[in-house]
Order: sequence, then C-alpha cells, then structure tokens
Amino acid sequence: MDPTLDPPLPPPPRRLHHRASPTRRHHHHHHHNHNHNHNHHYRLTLTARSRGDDRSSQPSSDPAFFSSDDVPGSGGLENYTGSAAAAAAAAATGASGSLAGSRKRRYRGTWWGEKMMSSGGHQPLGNEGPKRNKRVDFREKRLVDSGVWMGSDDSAAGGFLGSDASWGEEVWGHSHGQGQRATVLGGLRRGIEEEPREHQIARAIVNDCLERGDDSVDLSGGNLRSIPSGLLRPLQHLTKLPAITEPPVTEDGYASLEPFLRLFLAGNALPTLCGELFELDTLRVLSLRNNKLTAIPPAIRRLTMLQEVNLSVNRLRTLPWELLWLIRKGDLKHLTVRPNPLLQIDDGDQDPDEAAVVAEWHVPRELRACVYDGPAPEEAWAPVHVATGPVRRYNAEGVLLPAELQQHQQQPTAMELDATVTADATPQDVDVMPPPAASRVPSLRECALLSLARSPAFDLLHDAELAGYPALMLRLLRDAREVRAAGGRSCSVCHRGFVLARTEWIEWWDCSTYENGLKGPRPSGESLRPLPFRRLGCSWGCVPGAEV
Amino acid sequence: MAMRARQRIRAPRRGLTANKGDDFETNWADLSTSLKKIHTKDASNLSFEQLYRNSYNIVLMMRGEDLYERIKKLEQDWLEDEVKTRVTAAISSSLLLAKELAEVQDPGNERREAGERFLAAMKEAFEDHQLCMGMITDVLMYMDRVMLTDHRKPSIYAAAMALFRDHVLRSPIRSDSKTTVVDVLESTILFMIQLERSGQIIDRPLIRHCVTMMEGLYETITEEESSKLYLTIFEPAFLEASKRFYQAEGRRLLETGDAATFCKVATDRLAEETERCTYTLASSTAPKIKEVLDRELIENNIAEVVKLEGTGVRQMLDNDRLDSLRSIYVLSARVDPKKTPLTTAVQKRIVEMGREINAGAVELAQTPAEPKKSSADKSDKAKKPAEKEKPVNQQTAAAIKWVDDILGLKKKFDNIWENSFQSDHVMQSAITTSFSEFINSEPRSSEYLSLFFDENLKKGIKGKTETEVDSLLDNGITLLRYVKDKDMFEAYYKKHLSRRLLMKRSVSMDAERQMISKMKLEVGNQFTQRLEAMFKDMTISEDLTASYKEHAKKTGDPNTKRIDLDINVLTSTMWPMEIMASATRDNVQLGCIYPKEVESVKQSFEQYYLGKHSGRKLSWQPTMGTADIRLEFPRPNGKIQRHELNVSTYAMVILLLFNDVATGESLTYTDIKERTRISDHDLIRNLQALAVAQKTRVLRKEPMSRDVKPTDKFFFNHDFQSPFLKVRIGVVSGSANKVENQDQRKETEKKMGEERGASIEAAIVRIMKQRKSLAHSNLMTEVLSQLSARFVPDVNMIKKRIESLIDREYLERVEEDPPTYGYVA
Amino acid sequence: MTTPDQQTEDQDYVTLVSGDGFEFVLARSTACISKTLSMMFDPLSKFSEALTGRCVLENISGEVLEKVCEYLCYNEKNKNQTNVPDMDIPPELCLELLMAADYLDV
Repeated sequence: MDPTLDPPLPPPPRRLHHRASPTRRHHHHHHHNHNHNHNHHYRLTLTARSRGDDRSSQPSSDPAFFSSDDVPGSGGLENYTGSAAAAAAAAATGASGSLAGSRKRRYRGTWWGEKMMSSGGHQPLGNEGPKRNKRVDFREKRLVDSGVWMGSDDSAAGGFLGSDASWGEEVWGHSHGQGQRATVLGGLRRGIEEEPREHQIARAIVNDCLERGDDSVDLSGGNLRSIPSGLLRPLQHLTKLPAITEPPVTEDGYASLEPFLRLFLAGNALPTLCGELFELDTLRVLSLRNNKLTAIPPAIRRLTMLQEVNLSVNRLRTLPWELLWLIRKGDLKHLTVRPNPLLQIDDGDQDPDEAAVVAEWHVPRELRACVYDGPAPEEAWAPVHVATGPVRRYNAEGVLLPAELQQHQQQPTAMELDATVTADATPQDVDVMPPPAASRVPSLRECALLSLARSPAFDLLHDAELAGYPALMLRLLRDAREVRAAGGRSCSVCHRGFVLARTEWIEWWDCSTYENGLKGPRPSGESLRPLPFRRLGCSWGCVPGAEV
Repeated sequence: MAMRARQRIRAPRRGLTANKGDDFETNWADLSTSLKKIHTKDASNLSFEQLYRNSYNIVLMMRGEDLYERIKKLEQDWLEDEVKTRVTAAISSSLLLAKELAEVQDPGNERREAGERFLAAMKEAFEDHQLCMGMITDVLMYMDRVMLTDHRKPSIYAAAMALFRDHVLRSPIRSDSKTTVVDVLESTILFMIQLERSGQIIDRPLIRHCVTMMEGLYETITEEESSKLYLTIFEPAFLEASKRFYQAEGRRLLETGDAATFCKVATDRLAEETERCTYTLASSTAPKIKEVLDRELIENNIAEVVKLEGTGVRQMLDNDRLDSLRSIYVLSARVDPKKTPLTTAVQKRIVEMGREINAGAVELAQTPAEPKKSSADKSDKAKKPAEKEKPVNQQTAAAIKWVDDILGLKKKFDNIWENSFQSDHVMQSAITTSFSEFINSEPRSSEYLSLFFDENLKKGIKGKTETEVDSLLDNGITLLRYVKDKDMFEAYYKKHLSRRLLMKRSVSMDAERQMISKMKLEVGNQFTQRLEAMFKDMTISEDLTASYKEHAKKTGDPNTKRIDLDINVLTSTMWPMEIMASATRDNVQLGCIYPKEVESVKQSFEQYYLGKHSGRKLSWQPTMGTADIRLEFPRPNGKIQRHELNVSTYAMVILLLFNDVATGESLTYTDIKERTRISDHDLIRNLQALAVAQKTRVLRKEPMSRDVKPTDKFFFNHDFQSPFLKVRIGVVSGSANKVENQDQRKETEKKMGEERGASIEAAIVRIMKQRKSLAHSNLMTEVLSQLSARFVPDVNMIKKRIESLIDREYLERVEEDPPTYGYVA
Repeated sequence: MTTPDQQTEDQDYVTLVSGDGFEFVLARSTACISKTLSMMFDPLSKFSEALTGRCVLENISGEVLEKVCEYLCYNEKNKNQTNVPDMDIPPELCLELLMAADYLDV
C-alpha cells in the first residue's frame, strides 16, 4: 500500500474523555497537538517542516476522541484571530450559557467513523438523548448527537427542500419523545419563530466585525448547523478602519486598509455550505475545519482571491475540481484537506468499497513519485495529475445510467508506460481518444432549470404551488434549488453553467506542495500523494480529454 | 416589468386540472378501449398523443401504479381469452403422440403438417404480441419512466412478455391436461429437427421464429441472459434428444462396418448441425451440439472405427486412401489432441510393414548367390541399375533393398502425413517413433545403411545430377536419423569409407564431402571428426607423394624411373580398427619381405618422411595397397602383348618373385610363403585371385583347383590372354565392401562393445571431474544424456564401468544412501 | 420501411399543433430529438400521427410550443458544435417549458 495515499485507519477509540467543565476554554487548552498548531500559526517564520509533519494532522496524532470545544484551538488558522477571537468566543459562551451544560458534542473515534458506538460511550452524557444499547447507524447517531439542540428551527431555511431541513424536524420530534419520528412535509412546517440563538450570536459577531472594520471574522465553534441567510452577505462590503485603537496584536494591524478578509467557520456542525459564502469575492482565508461537510460546492471557484483554505476534519470523500483550479489558476497557496475520508485509488490493497477504480494512469504506476536531477524543475512545484477514474453518465433527468448503458467508448487507455522512462514531475501527456462526439447541447429540461436557477424569482416559488406537478419535475426542481443554494455550478470542461450534471468522474492530483503551504518543491524521489477531485460535466460530450 | 416582479414565474396549472378526463376512470376507459383496438389491429384511427396524454394524466394523479396493474390485467385477460385459445386450437392430436422420436417414418407427414400449423399459430401469436406491446409501451412511456425511476418496477413491456410466458406458453393445452403449450412446442420443434436429420426438408424460418420467441422470453423479470427460455427449456431438451440420436447413429454406423462411411457421415453431421444452429436454432448452441456430437458419435466410436476389420485405418494406409485418412484424422483431432486410437493404429501398421522389410532383407541375404538373374530381377524392382553391371553379393543387395524399401515406406507415410494428417506434430512424432522402432529392431541397420551409402558413392551416383545426388544422400540421412546406435554406423561407415578412399573407388570426392557435411548437420561435429581426419590424411598424403617425388628427382635415385610410389600416410587412430589391428599384429610378426626394388623405394621414403617428421613411426599396410605392373607377353606370332595389371601389393610381391623363375619352372606355396612372409590368410586370397579367378590367371596352378594347398605349384602363365590392356585383379573378398558374415559381425560387435566401454568411461570421468561428487542416479542420467547422440548405452555396462573405475581408483564411494561417488583426483 | 403513399412527399417534415391551434412545421429529424415525438412519428408505429405526420399536443400552448420548437432547432443546429451558445429562456416560461420538456422527454 502506498502510505502516501491517505491516512491509515486511526487507532481504536479510547475511552470517553470526560471533561468536568462544560464551558469552553480554548485559551487554556492543553491539547497534545498544541505545538503543531503553533507551527501553523508561525508558518511564515519557521523553516519548512518535513513533510512527514503533514501527517501530524492525521489521525495518528489527532485525537481519537474529541469534543466540540476542542475545536477552536485545534485549527491552526484560528490562531490568527488573536484576542478578538477570544473575546467573541467569550461572548458566545455567555450567551449560550444555559444550554452549555449539554451542548457539547462528543465524537468517538474518528469524525467519519461514527458508525459504531457502544452505549458506554454515551453514558457520561447523561441527560442527553436516549440511551442506546444497540448498534446505532449513522443517521440515528446524528440524531442522538444533536438531540440537545432544541426548540429552534432553521427558520429562514424554509426554502430548503433538502434533507437537512426535514432532519431538524425529525430531531425536534425525536427530542420530545422517542419513536415519535414523523416525516414532516414542507407544507406543514412551522412558521418563522424566533431566530435560534447561535444565529443571533453569529449575526452579532458579523456586525461587530463590520462595525470595527475587523477583516478577521471568527464564527468558529458557534454550533452553527446552517449559515443563516443574510449572515455573510454584508461582509462583501466590509471596510477596514485604520488600526489606531487596536493594539498591534498581529502584523495585519499595520497592513493596508484593503480588507484581508478571513472567515473562520471551524468547529461548527455545517452539513452544507450556502451560496452566499461564495459571493465573498474578496475572501482570502477560509476555515471550515471540523464540520460535517460531505461536499464542497463547485461555486468555491468564485472565491478567486482565496489564499488559504482549511477543509480538514470533515466528511469529504472528494474535493471539488474547482479547488484545483484555484491552485492552478488562482491564488490558493495553502490547502489543508487532511484528514478527511478521501476516496483512495484502488491499488488492489484497498478495501474495494473504500477505493475507486482507476480508468487511466497518467504517471507510471510503479513510479508514482517525483524524480528529477539537479535543481527542482518548475513541475516539482506544480500539481501532478496522477490518475483518472471512470466516467459516470447521467441521463437528462439526472439519473445515473445503469451500468450496461454507461458508454464505455472511452476505454481505459492503458498506456504502456515504460517504467524505465525517467519520470519527472510532469504528468505524461496522454492522447485520450475523445468518444465519438456526443452532443453538447443541453437538454430543454436543463435549459429551463438553468434559467430558473438563475432567476431570483425561484426563491419566491412556494412548495405549495408546486404540489401536483409531475413528480419527475419536482425532483428536478429540488435539484435546481440545491444547486442554486450552493452557489451554482459550471462545467469543468466547457465552463457552461448548468444544473444537472451529465457526466462525473474523479481525477487524482498530487498537490502536496500546496498542502504544505508552498514552502518548497517536492524533493526528488518524493512519492505522490494524490487527492481526489470530482469533476462534473454538463453534457455527455464533456468527458476527460474532450475538446474545449 | 414591475408587475411581473411578483408573478415572474407562471406556474402552469394544466397538469392538475386538465379540461377533461380529470378522473382516473375516465382516462382509463379511454385508454383501455384504445389498447384493445391496438390488439385487434385497429390502431390507425388512434392518436398516440391522446393515449400518451391519458396515461400522463393518470400518472400525474399519482395513480401510476394502478394504471400499471390495470394494464397488466388487461393484457393477461387478452392473452388468456384470445391468444391462448387461438394457439391451443392449432394443436391437433397428432402432435400429442408419444414423444418418442425414433419412429419418424410414416405417420410423419400428418404430424408434420399439424406441427407446421401449430408453429405458425405460435409465431403469429407472439409476433402480434410483440408488435402490440411495442406500440403500447411507446404510448405508456411516461408511465414507464415513472415506474422505473420511482417504483423500480420492470417496464410494462417486460411485464407483458412475462405474462405471455405464463399465460400462453405455460398454460395447459386443455384444462384437464398436464401438457403445456411449451411442451408441445418443444416436442414439435424436436420432431421437425428429427425429420431434417433423416433427410427431409422442413420449414426452417418457421422454426427459427419460434426459437427467436423463446430467446425473447425470460424466466425472470430482470431478464438475465442466462434465463432465456430458449436456454432453460429448449436447449437442454434439444441436446438430450441429440445425444440419444447420435448414440443410436453411432451404433448403426458401426454395424454397417465401413470406416470411410462413418467418417463421411460424422463429417457431414458436424456441418449439418452447425448449419442448423445458424439457420434454425441459435448460433450459441453450436458449440454445445458439437460437443454432443464429438462425445456421442465420435469419441465413443472412433477407437472401434479405426480398428474396423477390412475398412479401418490399416486398409486406408495400405491403399493410400488419403481422403478417408484425412477425415478420420480430423475427427480424431476433434476429440483427442493425442488422437490415441489413430496414432496407435498407424504406429502398429508402420512397425508391421517395417518388420516385413526387415524380414525381406534377411530372406534375400539367405538366397544362394548363384541365381544371378533373379537377383538382378529383384534389383530391377529396387531400381538399381548398377547391379546389372556387376554381380553384387546377395547380402549387399539385401542391404540396398532394405534401405530402398524403408525409404519407400517413409515416402508413403510422409505423403499421408502431409496430405491426410495436416502435418500434425503428434502424428509426426508417432510415425518417427515407429520407424525408429523397427529400424533399430534390425541389428544390421547401421551396416545396411552404410552399405547403401557405399554402393551409391561407388556406383549409384554415376551420371546423376547434383540435385539427384543430393536428394539420394538426404534420403539416407533421414534413415540415419532413426538409427540409435550412431557409433555402430560410424564404425561401418569408416570402414567402408577407408576402402573407397584407399582404393580410389569413390565416384566423386565432392559427393563424399557433401555426405560428410550432411552427417555433420544431422548428427554433429563429434561424429564426423574422425571421418574428416581421414580425408585430411588423404590430402596430406597427396602432397607428401608429390614432394617425395620431387625429392627423389633431386637426389637422382635411379629407382624412380622404374618404380612410382604413391603413398598414403594414415593416422592410426582415425582409421578403421581392422586396418590398424593388422598393423599391430605385424609388429609382432615379421613384416612382409618386399622385392629389392620395392624395398629400396620403401626405405628411401621412410628416410625422407622421418627426416621431415621425427618421432613418428611408419608401419606399412600391404593389405591396403595396390600396384600397377607392366607385363610383356611374347606371343608365338612374334608380337609382344603388353598388359598393365592392377594388383594388390601382396600380389605384386608374389608376381615379382616370378621375375627370377625360369620359364617352365614353378614355386610351391611354401616357397612363396617363405620368400615373402605373407600371412596364410592373405597369401591364399591373393594366390586365388592370381591363379584361380578365370579372367585373371596370370599364374598357373597345379593341380588346378579352387583350394590352395601348401604343396601346390605355381607357374607364370605366359599364355595370359585378356581383351583389355589394363587388367584389374581384385583380391577375392576384401576389395569390395559387403555385408559381414556372422564371425566378422561378432568381431565388429565385440570391438564396438570395447569402444563403447571406453566412451562410457571417458564420459564418467569427464562428468565426475567436473562435479567432484555425484549421486549414482544423477551420474547415470548424465552419462545417458551425454552419449545418447552416439548410441544408447546399456545401463549394466555403465554400472560395470563405474565399478571398474572404482577398482582403478578413479572414483570412490562417498556415501551409501543414496549411493554417491566422488572423484579421486 | 413502408410509408403510406399520401405521406411520401411530406415524410421529412412533421406538423406540431398546439392546444390552442398554432401549427409548427419541423423537419422530422429535428422533431425526433424529443423521445416522445420520435416514438409518435415512428413510421413503424400504426398510430394516426405516424400516418399523417401531424400531431396535436392538447396540453401545450402555442407560446410554449413555439419555444419548444425553437429549442429543437437550436439543438439540431448545435449538435456538432463544441461551443454551444446559450439559449435564452425567459424565466416566466421556465416552469411551463419544464413541464413540456418532461412531457416530450427532451
């Protein structure tokens, strides 16, 4: 097994680490990866770490057990916030004081491996949720974990048809009585109530930043389960004040007045991201560490000023192709994605369920390392295309074609790569025979959906109005809503905006130099550690190797 | 614009409140009426759009599943009420006769017509169903889309096909019967095939349609390839019926007892079944039915067919029935890559024929030499023109015939192998093995073969073109390939070659050299080394003779004028043993006393030669030499008749004695022996040649008889007459190469045994020197493999040699278990 | 493939009629981009639309059907293009078009 591909499985879960005090105290947080955090913090002044260090953020050194209040201090980025962050956190603590006793979320084992949990793990939580003695599946587990979250609703998220909305309902019902889990339809949703506290707090923090012209917005550890509508949009207009009253805590204090916008959403419980986030086109630093994200919307491509991103400790199987685009064409220099349950290349050694098949290799299989003589060539810095997975095709209704209909015109061009060829860091250019040109014309459904998804009026459309529409159509509308909420998509091949993906595939690229904050080229002989990037195409003509 | 801001997106309401048909039953009523019309082929007035819209509306009412079930019911009713009735009505009682297929003959016609009627009805029913369901599926596409995505139901088409399967094919033909439609279908098709197998013409496209139907219907709703009804129902039945048919056919064919017929029928059946699969059944069945045929008809019978008395492989081989042999080969190859029965039969026949040749040679050799004509007749047959010219020893004739017969046999089987056995490698090695077997079973094979070469190189190739010579030699070499004891052949070849060289009997030195290079190619370098050395000696001797003459001229030796010396200096180890053996004997005895003139030349040459090559020893071989003597016979008419006699060296020595004997005086045998010291053996033979042989009586013997006794007197024959100027006087036995007699043979074998022993010892020592220590069995293996190119060593002989080497302390026993030897340095 | 005689000269064009009576004549191949229409006009099918080359779409208005036809032509025109221009769809028509697209499977 290539150890560089992804972290090994974490050590078995330890006993529950019970904390006496439920309050947050990240300022006197004694975590064993404390030093590591400082490394992140002073990354500009310290000499390059060995790349082995990179793995220190991986399970081997990450806590096998942690609670939500581990988080604010555990992400290196967060330390940028300095005292301001501390102040904000304190405010949040105060505001949620009454809930704090049971608010803390605890995870056992790894962030993704929460499938099994013995009842013993829960017992110390006492009042929190029902006791479970049976094996708890993933979904139920989530319910249990969030069972403490009461009495609120995702109010403005009334527009969400997504599963997370009904989730809240289920949880709500659940917390009132076990087994009372009713599937609540959108139409029956309760009206707008008072905005949940964490949203209020978040708004307060944002307002505070706007007022003070603070371009470091720390919303980490705020128990956010969603980003409330309108929360982030004002940040587009944040203007920086001359830092006169503020003590010179960070070097930013003396920087130009153009905002160096940083947004910290670490340590929340976000399952998805909203489109509003991607309207912050001046965003430079974004931390989403330790959330429940299963996907990063392709709309992240709109954040062209982005220099640093932290996506670690989420539930990401893949990364959006657009992230790679930001590295290659944008300003992104520091990418933190590990650990995540990232899709691994099927090397034969992997668990077949956990690993993906490769349709085509772009570097010699045996070599999968960067080798060069003399000074590092430019390629030693650049991302390396390692492999491409098979293309999955969807029909015009967005349904995956059954296996026998997947057109396999694009055979895995198993290029006879001569292993003896000195492979530098350059991926071998491959002539992929494009499949006999499938039409790139969008379907009429797609045209209509796209137009709809771009129209602001779409948000005004109520579910009730759509009742009785063809079920097939409703599903498309729901998809369109999700795409719209996530900030839209554009084809990774032809860049056309679209709603329904017609093709999908994974490309593995090694970005280790960027993962490291671009400190140095790959040393010669360094093995590649590819990351899975998910690409979407808007038509069957948009496939690997297609003409652009 | 401002107005639109609120109402930007018009929500179409039609989906909910279509003007008419907004309740399920209305829509369904429309739809069901139309669907029935489709079944009754009355669709041209129907609007696709309307039906589509009907089903669309129903689906929008969330009643898609109800619609799906109603349609299934409608189809089921239609199939049961209409289609099934039509199909079962076409089944007449003759189709329900016992399924036993054997009694095809007469009631055939009635049943056949009934069958065709039924198949046609079946075909029509299914095609209608397919067509209608195609149309219905199209119309219901919207429903299908929803069913497939949201309810995971099979498409309505697949569902309707399953209904056809259950409610038509699987329904009983009568309510009280257990026989189902598909049973009748199966037996009817099998019956038709049976008819076709018995040579009748049947309606293939019709059957093909019914097969297509069974290929289009599946056991399962998921429609896996393997669940086609054709595969689950018909094909097994077909294969089973075929199995029984071919078992019977195999028995029948064996009873008729003609192998060629069997081959033809089997070959035709193979083609027929392939064609049937292509045009009547499914091509996917072809490999399976061929397997049945291969096993039941061919594999189970081929061994008996090969052995069939009077028509089997033996007769095919004897009569060169290439076509029959080809088919039997092709059939055998289908079922057995080794073609065991065929190879066995071929091998058996080759060995039989080979032994006949061996026996023939022995018989010919034993026929008395006297009937020269009959021998000539025989050799006529063997196409040996040379034999007409000269009487050849019967033994030699037998040898030549033996070789020719084998070559003939070989040619015959080459032809069969190439044309009938498709140059198959297995067959080739089987044939080779058999040739090798009978050739090596003839103990004189090496000698015979060498004689064959000898004869040809002396006479046979006269007047032949290069190509002819080449192919003649190649034929011989081919036989050499089969001979296991190559050392034995080498010994004979050397002996024969030496005589050809020394007595200058070769027709063409080019042919000789060609022969050597061919053997070198075939057997290897080591084999020809000594033969080549013989040629080398000859060449060196020529130069030597020339330079000696030059030398003699310079020194002005007067004798040069009278005696011309041609000398051959032979390296003793390279030349045949018997020549050299006499040399060793002569060392013990005193050498022959040469006449003065000759003795001086001899000494002069020895002097010259040893001066050039000090440390060598020359010993003279008068048995191998010849001399030309000029004789003058004064005739009564005053003329002087001159003759040049070519005689052996001994004869020359004897004749020169008579220079000193006055006319009318004689020498006794004892006198001659004393004066020449020629051994009795050689002396008697030479005297016989000079005094007994009719045409070459240069001496007169008293008393005149064949035998030579010590008291016999010899006179010079002044009245010698010969029509030729040059007269060759051959020594009786010895000048020509011929088959050895028993004693000679034993001698040769004994010598061969000694030489083999030496070879084995040399091999053992070579191996042990290299390995230092080796287990007994490994040593045996290595020795055998090293020597196998020359001869097949006797295992006991190797053991004895090992013992002997241990005794002589070349080897020692290192271990007992396993027995291991070590090399003693 | 046998087509009724009266059809022969028209077989390369078909007529689509909206619920409110607007007629649109399209090349057959263009119309058949829609799966529903392609089945409807399948010459092997025995329905009246296939025989007459004319089809009335009761539940689609002229306005929408016009847009549908525009789309069909747009699709036909661009089917081999690498850079396909966007087709302009007024947002207010989106839902109706989506319905029509669903109905016509296009």
